[in-house]
Amino acid sequence: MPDSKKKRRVGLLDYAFKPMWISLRTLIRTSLAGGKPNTVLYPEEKLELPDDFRGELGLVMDRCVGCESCARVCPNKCLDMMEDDLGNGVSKWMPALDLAQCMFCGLCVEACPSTALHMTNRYETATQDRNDKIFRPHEWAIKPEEAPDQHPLPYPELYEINCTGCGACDRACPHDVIDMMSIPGTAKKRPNGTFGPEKKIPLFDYELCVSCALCVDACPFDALEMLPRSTTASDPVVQIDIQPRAGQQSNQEVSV
Amino acid sequence: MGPQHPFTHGLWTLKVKVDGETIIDAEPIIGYLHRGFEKLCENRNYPQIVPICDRLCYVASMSWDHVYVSAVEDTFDIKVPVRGEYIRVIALEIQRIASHLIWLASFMTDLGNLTAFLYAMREREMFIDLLQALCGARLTYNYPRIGGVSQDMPRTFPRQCLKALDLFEKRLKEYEYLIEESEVFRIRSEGVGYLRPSDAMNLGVTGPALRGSGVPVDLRRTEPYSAYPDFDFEVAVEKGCDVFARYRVRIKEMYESCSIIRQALKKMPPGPVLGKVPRHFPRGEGYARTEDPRGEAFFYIQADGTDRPYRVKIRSPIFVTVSAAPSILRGYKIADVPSIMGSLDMCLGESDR
Repeated sequence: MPDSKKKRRVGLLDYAFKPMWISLRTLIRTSLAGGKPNTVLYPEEKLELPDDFRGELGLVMDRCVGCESCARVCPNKCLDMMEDDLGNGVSKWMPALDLAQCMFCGLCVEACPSTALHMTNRYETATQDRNDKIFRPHEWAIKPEEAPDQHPLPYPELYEINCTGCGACDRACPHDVIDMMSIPGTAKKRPNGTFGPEKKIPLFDYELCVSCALCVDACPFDALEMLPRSTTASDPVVQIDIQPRAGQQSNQEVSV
Repeated sequence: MGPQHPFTHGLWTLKVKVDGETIIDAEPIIGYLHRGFEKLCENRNYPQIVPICDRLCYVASMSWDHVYVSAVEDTFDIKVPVRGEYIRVIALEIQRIASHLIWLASFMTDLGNLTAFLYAMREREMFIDLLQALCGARLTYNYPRIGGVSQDMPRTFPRQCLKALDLFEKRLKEYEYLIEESEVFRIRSEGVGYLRPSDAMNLGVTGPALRGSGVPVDLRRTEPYSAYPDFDFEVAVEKGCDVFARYRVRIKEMYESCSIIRQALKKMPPGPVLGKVPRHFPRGEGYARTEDPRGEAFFYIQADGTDRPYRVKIRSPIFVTVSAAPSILRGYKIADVPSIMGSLDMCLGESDR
C-alpha cells in the first residue's frame, strides 16, 4: 500500500514507455489469432452461467402435484392456479405464470415439494407486448431433463409430544389425508368417576397426500414438520410415542 | 441541482444558496424514490420480505438482506448455524468490496478520471461473479434466509474466491497509485469538504464519513454481530476529515475485507447452513444494527403473533448523512459539490425507502 502522504518519483520510463508497452501488449494479445478480447461480445457469445442461475421459470408438468405451495409463497402473486391440459388429453391443476410480475426471487422453487419448478438459464425475456409474458401452464413447461435436481417428496411427520389433538390439521387438509384417531386408554379420570375424552392424534394416509404443507401451517403447536420420506405409499406407518404409564406399552405402532 | 444531474447518482435535489461562487447554505431534497417500503413489509409475511430488501439499496443488496434477517432472528431468538454465519460474513464482505468499487467508479467519473471508472467496474465484475456463484443472481441476491442462508457455497467457490482476491489486491495497489499520484485529484480532494469530528457525531453521520473524521466507530468492532468476533481486522480510520480521508478509509476497508474473507475461508467449519425455523411466529420485538458499506443500518421489527410484521422501521445511513450535507458544503466553491457529495456515497434506494 503506497503511503498516502509521500509523493513517489516517476521517471520517464514509467511516464512514457510503460503505458505504451502495456497497450501494445494488450493489442497484440487481443488481436492475434487465438487471442481473447477483454470483453465478451454479447449477442454472439454469452457468459458462462452457474448451474443454479436464477433465470426464467420453468414447470415440469409431469411432476406437478397441484399443491398450490408456489402460489401461496409468491410475494408478487404472479402464480395463479388453473386447470390445463397436459398434452395427452389429461388435464391437471397447475400454476399459470405472469412473468412480467416475477422478480426471480426463487422462493417458489424452494417451496415446491415435488421439484416441478425450476429456474432455467434463460434470461432474455423481453417481448413487444405485455400479454406475451402471461403463460398458461403448458406454455411455460420444460422437459424433465432440464430440471435435474430432484429430491424425494416431503411428507408431514408428527412430533407426538407437541400434539394436543386439536384437529386443526384435519380441518386444513384439502384431500382428506388426515384422520383424527383417538388413542384407547388415554382418557383422564375425572373426580366424579367418569372418563373424559380420549386423546386424539392425526393419522396420515400418505397415498392421498400431495405434500402441500397446509396442515403444517395450520398446526398451532408446531407438532408437524415436512420431512423427506422414502416410504411413500408402501409402508404407511406412524410412530406414536406415548408417555410411559403404568400398565401400558410405551410404544405403539398403528397401521392405517 | 438535480433531480437529473450527473453528480447526483440517483434522484435527489440539492438546493444551493450561493454568494458568487461560494456556498452559503444548502438543502437536500429527497423522496423521489419513495416506494412505501415499510408499509409494504406489513403486507407480506416474514420470508417474503427478504427479496424486497434486495431493492432497498441496489448497490449493496446483500447487506440489507442480512440486516432484515438478523432483526427477525433477534425477534424470535432463532439460532443460526456457525457455517451459515461464516458464509454470510463472506458474502457481506464481498458485497462491501463490490459496493466500494462502484462508489470508486462513480466518484472518479465525477472528478474526471474515467480510467479509474473502467478499472473499478471491471474488478467489480469479478465480485459480482463470486456472488452469482453463491446464490445464482447478479444483483438481487435473496441469499440470506431467516435462520441461515439459502444454500451452501459451491465446492469450487473458495478457490475461485482466493484467485479473485489475489488478483484484486494486486490491481488495487496499481489503482491507488494511478489515482493518488494525480495532481488534479489531490487538489480537488485534499482540504475539501471538511467535516469536523464533533459535527459528524452530533449529526449522526456513520460509516466511512465518520471514520474519515477520525472517530473509530465500526459496528463490526464496537458491537460485533454475526461471526465478526472470530476475525482479526483493523478499523480503517483517517484523521484528515476531508474528501481524501474518506476516500482513503474506503480503500483501506477494501483491503480489510479481503483479509476477513481469507480468514473466513480458512476457518470455515463444516455443518448445516440453515437452522430450524418455527412455522409460527410469536409476539415480540427486536432489532439489528449492522455496518453497511455506507454506515450503520438498522432494522426494527414488531411482531404481533401473525405471519406478518406489525411494524418495520428502517434506519438508513445515507438518509442521515445527506442531512449533514449543508454543514459540510458551507464555505466551499460550487465546483466542489460533486467532489464532496460523491465522497459521501449516495444511494437513494435506501434513504427514500
